[in-house]
Amino acid sequence: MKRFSIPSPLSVLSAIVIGICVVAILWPSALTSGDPATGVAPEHLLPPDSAHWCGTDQLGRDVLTRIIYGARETLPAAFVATMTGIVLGSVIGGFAALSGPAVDTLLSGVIDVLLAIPELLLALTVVILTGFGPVHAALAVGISQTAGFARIVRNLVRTLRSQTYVEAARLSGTGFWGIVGWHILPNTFRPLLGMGILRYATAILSLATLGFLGYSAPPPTPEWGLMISEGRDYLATAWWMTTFPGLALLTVALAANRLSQAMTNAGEERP
Amino acid sequence: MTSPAPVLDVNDLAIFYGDRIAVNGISFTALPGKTTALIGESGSGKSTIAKAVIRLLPPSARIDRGSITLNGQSLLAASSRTLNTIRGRQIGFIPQDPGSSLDPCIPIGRQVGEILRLHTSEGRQERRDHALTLLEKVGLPDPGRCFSQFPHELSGGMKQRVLIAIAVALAPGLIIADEPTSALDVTVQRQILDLLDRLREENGCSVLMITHDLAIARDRAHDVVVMQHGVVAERGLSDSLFSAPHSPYTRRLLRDSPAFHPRIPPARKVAPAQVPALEVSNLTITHRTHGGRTSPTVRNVSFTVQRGTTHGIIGESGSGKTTILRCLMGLIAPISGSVRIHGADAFGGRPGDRGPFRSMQLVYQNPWSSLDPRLTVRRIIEEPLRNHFDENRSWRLQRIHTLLERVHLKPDILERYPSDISGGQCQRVALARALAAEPDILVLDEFVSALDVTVQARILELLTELQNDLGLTFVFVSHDLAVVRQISDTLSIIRHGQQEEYGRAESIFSHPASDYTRTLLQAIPGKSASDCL
Amino acid sequence: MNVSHFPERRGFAGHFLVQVGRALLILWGAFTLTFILLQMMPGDAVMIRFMDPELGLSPEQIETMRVLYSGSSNPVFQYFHTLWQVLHGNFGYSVQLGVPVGKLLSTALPVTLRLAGVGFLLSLVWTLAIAVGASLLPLRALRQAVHALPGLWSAIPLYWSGILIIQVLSFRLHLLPVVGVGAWEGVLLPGLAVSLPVAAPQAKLLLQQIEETERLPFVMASRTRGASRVSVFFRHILPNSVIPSLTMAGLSLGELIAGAIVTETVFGLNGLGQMTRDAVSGQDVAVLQAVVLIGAAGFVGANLAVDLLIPLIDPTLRMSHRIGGGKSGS
Repeated sequence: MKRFSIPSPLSVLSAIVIGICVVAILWPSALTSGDPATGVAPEHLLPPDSAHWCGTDQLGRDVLTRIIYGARETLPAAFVATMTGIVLGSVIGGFAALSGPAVDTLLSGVIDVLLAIPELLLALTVVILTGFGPVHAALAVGISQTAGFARIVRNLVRTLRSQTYVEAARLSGTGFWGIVGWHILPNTFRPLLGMGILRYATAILSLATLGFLGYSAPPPTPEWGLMISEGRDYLATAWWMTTFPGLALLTVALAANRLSQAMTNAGEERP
Repeated sequence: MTSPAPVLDVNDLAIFYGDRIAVNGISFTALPGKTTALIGESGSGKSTIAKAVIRLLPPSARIDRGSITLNGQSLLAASSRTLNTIRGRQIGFIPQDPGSSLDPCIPIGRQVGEILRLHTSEGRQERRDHALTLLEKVGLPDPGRCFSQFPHELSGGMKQRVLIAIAVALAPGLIIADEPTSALDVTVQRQILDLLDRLREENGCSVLMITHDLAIARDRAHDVVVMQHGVVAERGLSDSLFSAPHSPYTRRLLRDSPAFHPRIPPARKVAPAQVPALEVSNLTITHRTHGGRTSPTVRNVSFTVQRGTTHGIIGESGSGKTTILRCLMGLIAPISGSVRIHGADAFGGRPGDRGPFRSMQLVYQNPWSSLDPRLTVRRIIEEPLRNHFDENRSWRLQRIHTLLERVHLKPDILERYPSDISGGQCQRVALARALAAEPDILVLDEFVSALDVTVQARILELLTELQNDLGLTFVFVSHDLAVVRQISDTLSIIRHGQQEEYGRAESIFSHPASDYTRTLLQAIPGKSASDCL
Repeated sequence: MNVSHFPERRGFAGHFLVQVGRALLILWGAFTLTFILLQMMPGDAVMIRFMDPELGLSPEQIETMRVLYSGSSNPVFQYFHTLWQVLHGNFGYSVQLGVPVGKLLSTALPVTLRLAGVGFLLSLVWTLAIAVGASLLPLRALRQAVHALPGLWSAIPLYWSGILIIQVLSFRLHLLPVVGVGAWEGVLLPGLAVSLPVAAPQAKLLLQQIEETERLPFVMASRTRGASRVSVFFRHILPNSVIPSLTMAGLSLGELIAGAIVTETVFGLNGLGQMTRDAVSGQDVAVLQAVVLIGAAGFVGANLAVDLLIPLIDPTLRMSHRIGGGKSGS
C-alpha cells in the first residue's frame, strides 16, 4: 500500500502557479485579450491601474499581456533544456557508475572539468559556437546542466549498487541487467525527478539571463529576461516594466522549487 | 523496616505523541544507593520515561498527567532555567550510544570540563585537574593522554567511560543510564556495568537503568519495573520478580529470553552423511580495505558442518566473522585454504563462478536494508524464482504461497512494501526469499540481533522447524552467545581473525579450553540465572 | 580494539600534493575542453594570432594566411603552442579590439575581483545570520520565515535583484549613488546584489547540516548536562555544521565570477562582465577562452583552498586520514 500524505497549502499553491503557466503556454488568449506585439502609442508608460494591471511599456503595450505571452517563450525552452541535461547526464553518469574503474575515473574527470566551469560561462561558450536564438540558448543551458546531472546519477547509482538488497539480489541469482532494471533504475527515478524539477527552475532563470544579455530571442519577443533588459532604460520613471516580469520569473521558480521539495519529501517518507 | 525517602518518584505519568499514547499511568520510585531497572521491548515507552525525567522530550511529545518528583522538588513545574541547573548537577545521564554521544570536534578533556564550567565556579586549571581526576576514577588507562584526545581515537568502551565520568562529575543523586551497554561488546559491557555498580556504591546515588536485556536487569538491579505498551506489567524486587513472576507478560519474556533458557540441542537423528555439507580448511583471507592497503583479518580457520546441523560462529565486533561469512558466500576469494560445499571445491573453478555457491543462501542482519524498498513482498520472493526456475507465472505464484506458509506469513502481506511491515515479518520474508532458491545451506548473519526478544524467540523456533522439516544446514554468525548456544551443534569462537576454539557446543560451554572463551562466558549477563536452572 | 586507529596515513604533505595535482589536472582539462570547442570556430586560434596589429598584416594578407593555414596547420602543434602561451600568461589577441587579451584583463579583472570579494564576504555574513536566526529567534514563525529566505533568494534572477536595489536604494531612498563614486563604494551595491543568490545555497546547506547535527546524540547529551539551547548551539551544533558547509563556500566562488558578469551589466561596471558580453557578441574567441579559464581557476582554486583547510580544522581528519565509516571488517 502506497501512502499519500496531504499536500501542504504551499505545494497546492505551487501546483496552481504551474497550472496557470500551462494555460498561458497553450491558450494565452484565454487569460488576456490584448496583443503582445502591438501597442497603443498614446498609452505608453502608463503606471499600473485597473485597465493595465501591470502598466504599459514605452510602446504602449500592456505589460501583463506580454508577461502572459512570455510564458510561451521561456517555460517550454527550459523544459527542453532540462530534459537535454537529464538525458545526457543520465547516460554519462550511468555509464560511468556501471563501468569498470578506468572508464569511471575518465568520465568522472570529464564531469569534474565541466563542473569547474561556471554554468553561465559554459552556456556562453556554447552560444558563441552555435550563434544566438532561443533554440541555441536552450541547447546551451541544457549542456551546461549536463555535468551536474551526470555527477548525481553516477553517485546515486554507485550508492545503490552497494546496497545490501542489491547484493542480496545478486546472491539470489539475478544478473547484471536484472539488477540494473529491477533494483537500480526504479530507485533512481524519484530522486532524479525531484532534482529535475529543481533544475527546471534554474533553467528558467538561466534562459532568462541569456535573454537579458540579448543572446536569445530578438525584440519584440515578449521574453521575460529581454523585457527586464528593455525596461532598464526606464528604470527611474517606469518601475513596473522591470518589476513585474521579474516577479513572474521569481514566482515560477519558487513554485518549481517548492514542488521539487514536496517530491523529495514524499520520497523520504518511506523509512 | 523504614525505607529511605526515594530520590525519584514518578506517579501516574502519562505521555502522548500526538494522539498516540506512549506512556499510560506509570508509577515507580528510585531509592538511594539502589539500581532500578525499567525493562521492556521496543515501543514499550521505557526511553520516553527516561527523557521525561530529564525533561528533554521531543517537541512532539506531551505530558498529559502525573508527576515527577526529584528529592521532593517537582520536575514538571520547574522552569527551563531551573531545569538547566538540575540537569548535570542533580541528574546525571548516560546515553545509549557512546559512539556518537561525544562531540567529535572537541577534545575529551574539554567535554568533561564543560559540565564543570556550567555548574561550578572552578577556574581553568582547577577544571583541568578535576577532569583528570574524573577520567582516572572511571578507570581510563592514561588520563593525561586521553584528556587531549578526540572521541574518534577512543574505543567504544573508553567513550562510555568518559560519558560516565561526565555523568558522575558532580555526584548527582540520580543517574539515568539509557541502554548504557547495548552498543558494546559483551566483555566491555561487563566492565562498564561493574564500573557503574562501583560508582553507585561509592556515591550512594540512585541509578535508573533503562534496558531491554532481562539478564542485565537480573544481574544488576534491585528493583525492576517491567513495561509493556506504555503500562507497567509488573513491578517488584529483582529477586522475587525473576524467581516468581506474576504477570503473564513477564513470564513470556523470561521464557523467550535465551539467557534464561540454555537449550540443550536435541540429539540428532540424521545419520552422519559421508560427505559433510560444508568443509572449511585453513581459510586465510586478507580483506581489502580502502586506500589499496591490505590487512590480514582471518587466519587459518577450519571447521566442518554435517548436513542438517547448525554451526555457530561467535565473535565480537572487528573479529573477522563477517569476513569469513562473505568468503563462504563467494563474495571474497581466500588467499589460501579451501571451502568445500558438499565435497566440491567452491573456489576451484574460474574466479567469479557462482555455480558452486548455488546451494547456499545468505540472510542478512538488518531486516529492512536487505529488501528493496520499491518492491512488494511478492516481487521480492518472486525474484529468485524467476532466476532459478523456468516456469510460468501461476507456478511462481503458487510457489510463493507455499513459501509464505513455510515462514508462517499470511498471504495478505504479498502486496505490501518492506517499510509497511515489522522487523520480524521482514526477516521472515528474507527467509522465504532465501528458501525460494531451494538451498541446502543457509548462512545467517546476526539474523535475530535487531529483533525484540519475543520476536527473536519465534524466529529461532521457525529456524528449528525449518531445519527439522527440510533438513537444512545452518551457519549462524552472531555476537550473542546466549542465542548461539540455543541453536548450535558445533561452534567456532573467533577473535582477532583467529579461531580461538572449535568443537561441540555443549563441551565448549561446559569446559572452555581457552582463556578468551572463559572471559566471554563469564561476561554473559544473567549467568547466575542460567546456573540455577 | 584490534582495529588500527591510524590506517593508511598519507600525512598532510601527501594530501597537499594529491589535491594540488587534482586541481592542476582539472584546469588542464578545462583548457583542453575550451580549446577543442573553440577550434570548431570559423576564425580559429591560429588566425587570431595573425591578426596581431603589431605584425602589421593587412586584411588581404590575413585572408591569404587563413587559406594557407586552415587546411595544413597541425592541430596538435597548435594545441601545444597555445598551451605554452597560456602557461606564460599570454591569452592571445582580441579579434575585435586588436589588443592582447592580457591587457584587457589587467583593467577588467580588478573590478570583478573587488565585486566578487565584496559579494563573497556579504554572502558569508548572510549565511551566518540566517543560520543563527533560523535556530535561535524567539518565535517559531520568525524562525520559519528566516528559514525560508534561502529558498526565496535562490529563485531571484540576479539582474533583477540588482535593478530592484538600484530602484529602492538609489532612486527612491537616495542612500547610495550608483555612478561617479570610488572603486570600493562602486562595488558595494552590486556586491549586495551578487551576495543574495550566492548566499542562498550556502545557507541552505548550513541549515540542512544544522538540522542533521541537532539530531545527533551528543547534542542531546550536552543538554542532559544542563547546557542551555544557546550554549549548545554555539559550542556544539554550529562548529560541527560549518565544516561540511565550507565545501559549498568553495563551490560558490566560481559562481560569483559568473554572477559578476550579469551584475556588472546592470550596474555599468567595466569588468570581466562587460568584456565577456562584448566577446560573445563579437565572437571574440580568445577573450571568452580567457574568461572561462579564469572562472574555472576561481572555482578550482577556491575548492583547493577548502580541501586543504578542512583537514586542518576537522579533528577527525587531522589526526588520522579518513577512517572508513567507523565499522571496518567486523
